[in-house]
Amino acid sequence: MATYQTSDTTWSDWAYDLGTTTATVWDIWNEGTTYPYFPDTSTVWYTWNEGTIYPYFSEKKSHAQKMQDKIWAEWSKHIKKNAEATAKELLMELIGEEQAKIYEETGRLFVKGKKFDYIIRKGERTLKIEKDKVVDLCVHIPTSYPLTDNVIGLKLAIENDEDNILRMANASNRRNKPEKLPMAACM
Amino acid sequence: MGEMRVMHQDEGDFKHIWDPEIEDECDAMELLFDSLLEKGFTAYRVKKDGEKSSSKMVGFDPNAGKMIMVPKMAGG
Repeated sequence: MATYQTSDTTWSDWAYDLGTTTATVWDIWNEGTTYPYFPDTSTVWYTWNEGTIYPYFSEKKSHAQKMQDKIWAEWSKHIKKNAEATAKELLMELIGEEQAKIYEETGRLFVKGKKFDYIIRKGERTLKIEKDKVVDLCVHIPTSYPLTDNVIGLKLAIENDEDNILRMANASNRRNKPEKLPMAACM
Repeated sequence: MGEMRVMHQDEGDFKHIWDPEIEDECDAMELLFDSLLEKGFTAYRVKKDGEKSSSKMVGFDPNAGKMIMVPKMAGG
């Protein structure tokens, strides 16, 4: 009478004869036959991903990343624009509506210090005005802040702490004072 | 009412207001003021409504009116 084996009993017999387990079989298979190519499960998985599936995911991931970067860039632009508008409102509270309009047009604010006069330029170096010379001063709050916040900060610092500003600033491009200084808002 | 404007890189500035008559509000603002100074901010008292003049503050004054907190400056 024929004896019918199931896969479980076959496996059990085979494993019993060899005195082995699935882990060992896997090991033997790797080591014996295919070791040079698939030394362990993680490498098999990695190779499979890299070879077949990975490029697909890579493309999708790259597309998603690009979209995310685009959205973030737009959002950052929006935030910066609002932050700059808020800073302009604060400046208007300090210099009044009329002068704020001139600032809006020129991007410049004239400030009187105890030693010198200055023209603070939005997004540019501040102009120190001497008797017959002008000098560029590089001094600012962190550049991540709105440009008009920097103008406000410089105005307040020049009015109250001029010596400290002059000490900190990197001065360059000392030149003859032009006959006519550029138009700027003032108080 | 007191008003403190704290410059902020993403928002332009944050406006904090307090009632100088309410001690708890003044205490909270003093804590904020001190922590900002520790971070390197400079405090300026300014006049409202475009009036000329400002002054540097070294300690919190609940009756200062309006003040602006400016982050640390650096030479370029």
